[in-house]
Amino acid sequence: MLRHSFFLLGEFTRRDFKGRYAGSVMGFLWSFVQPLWSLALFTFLFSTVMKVSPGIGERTESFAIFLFCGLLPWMAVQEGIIRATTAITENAALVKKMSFPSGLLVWAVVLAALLHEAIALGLFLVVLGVTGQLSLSGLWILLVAVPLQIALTAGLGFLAAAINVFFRDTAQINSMLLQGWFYLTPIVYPLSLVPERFGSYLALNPLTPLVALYREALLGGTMPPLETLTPLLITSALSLVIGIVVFRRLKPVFADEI
Amino acid sequence: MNDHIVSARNLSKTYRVYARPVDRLVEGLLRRLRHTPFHALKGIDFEVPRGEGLGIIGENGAGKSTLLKILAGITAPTSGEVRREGSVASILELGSAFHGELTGRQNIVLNAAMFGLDRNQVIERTPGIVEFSELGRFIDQPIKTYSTGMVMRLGFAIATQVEPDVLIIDEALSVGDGYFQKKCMVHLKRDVNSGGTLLICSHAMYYISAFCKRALWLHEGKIEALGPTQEVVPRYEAYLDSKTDRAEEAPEIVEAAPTAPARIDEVRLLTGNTYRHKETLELEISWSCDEPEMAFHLGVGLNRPDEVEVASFSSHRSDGGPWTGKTHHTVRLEIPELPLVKNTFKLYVFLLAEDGLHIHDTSILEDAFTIEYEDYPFGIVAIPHRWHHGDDE
Repeated sequence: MLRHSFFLLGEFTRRDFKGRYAGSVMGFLWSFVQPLWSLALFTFLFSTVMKVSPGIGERTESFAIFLFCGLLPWMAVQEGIIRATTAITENAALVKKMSFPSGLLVWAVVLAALLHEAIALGLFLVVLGVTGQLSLSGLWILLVAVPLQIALTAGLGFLAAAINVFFRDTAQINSMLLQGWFYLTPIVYPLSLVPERFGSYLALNPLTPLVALYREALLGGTMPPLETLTPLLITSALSLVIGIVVFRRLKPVFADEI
Repeated sequence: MNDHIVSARNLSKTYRVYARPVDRLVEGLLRRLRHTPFHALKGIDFEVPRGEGLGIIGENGAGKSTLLKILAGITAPTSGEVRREGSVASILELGSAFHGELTGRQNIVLNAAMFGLDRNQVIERTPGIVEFSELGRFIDQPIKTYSTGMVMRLGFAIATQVEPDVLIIDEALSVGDGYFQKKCMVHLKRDVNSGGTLLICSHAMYYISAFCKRALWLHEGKIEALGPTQEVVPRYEAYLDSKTDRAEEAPEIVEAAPTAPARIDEVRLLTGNTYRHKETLELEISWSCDEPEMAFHLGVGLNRPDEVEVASFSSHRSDGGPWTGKTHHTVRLEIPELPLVKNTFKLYVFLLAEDGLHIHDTSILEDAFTIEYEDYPFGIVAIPHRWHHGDDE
């Protein structure tokens, strides 16, 4: 049963991945171009114009590298949640006419987002290697970061996907919330620049430790102290449980409500 | 443990109908009822033994599709229980699971996986699916380039080659060209004969009669009748007849395209257009087909202009045909001693496939012939009869 689910999940992910780039001239290359474009824009805006620099205590002096470490997980989380929100409603034809575990549709977009991230990550590692800044000593930290990231994305994704079936405004609300979440996470600026009285709130943001884990992992750092990870651990676990429970409860009537 | 592959216990389904989306939110948050309930199914009980076909009939809105969706596991019943043993595949809408950007072959994998096949089974059965679908080189083209008929062929090919223990079909057979329809029917018939279980919902009673030992008649969400097809279907038809004005209900007409594999060339009355009671009528029907291997039966319907069915003649029920071995056929139907007494009549000529079910082509002769009457009888036919007075004995 589980094996079949994995097979079907693979097929859904493939369908998503292939379907997205089918018919476009650059096709699959878009998964490189998109993050590079964000990187260029943010670097120009925050580094060149606004003179933000990674600052003391960060492992790189290059703003672009500092930024990309944060953009990588962010883009996967954002893409995963946004696409999961409409994963059920967009596949109304499937959900209404076929009998299959519809939760796989959510897992598939989360997985596809992760694949995009992996491609961008590969490219990033090559760039680091070419510029002589590659350090593999911290990469194992990703083994902690990625599962937590998947749990967080999938959990929120399941919740949003289920609610969106009944309340279509969810998709709109979500993109607004995510925009806020991006700027309230130290991705385009270091945590050290945040005034003291806000800093402690930002540390409660589960993405703050996730971004920190990525920076440590990709720039040859070490495992951050466990207590700084608490918001991420709690939020990931909670959202996964709540998301799956809510999705399961509402799933039997999806076909009637889409 | 019994040998019922599908059993439904006291199934009910109630939909909540909201006037506006916001009502749903209000109800959810404030616990104030804002919906009107719609009872799609009420207390449905039945069982389907392994290897039997069950036909689900009823008018539009009677709950047929809802019942099939519950049986297929797509939606949950509001109350009651469905038990299914073995694998179930459903075709509620052909091709609904396809992704237009992916090729036919890629869609086979995805679709077959959704029907529950694992990777090895998919690899094993793909050639069979490609062959059944007859898509040829199109199988490696994106589905979006397919015609509706091609999509349908692929959809049906997958669902049948999956060989589920239970196959659920909702009206899916009624699309596509005649040739493929026939192929599907032959396949399904073989499936039922070899122990497959079939649940079909259709408005076409000949499908129900062909595949199903028993029929379930749904009326306004309840079981109106459940029993042998030959008992339930006539009751349902009688009900429909009593409801609709017969004149509005014309028979199903299939007219073959000039490119169809078989088409009627000509229908003519050899004995003219006016008859008297007890004269002989001869009707000549000629048709062409592409393949000499094709075998045919003919059906002729005799109707009054207001569509009252007066008589029917079918070669597969009366020792005519099947006719085969040629690409051009001419057959003569002789009706000696016309029992008709008056009126003008209409003739329907059906070119049928070997199974006597599938219609290749139809030809209609409006005002085909008139009976000139000499006296003024009531009714349509004169039936030989005698009178016996008690004093005569």
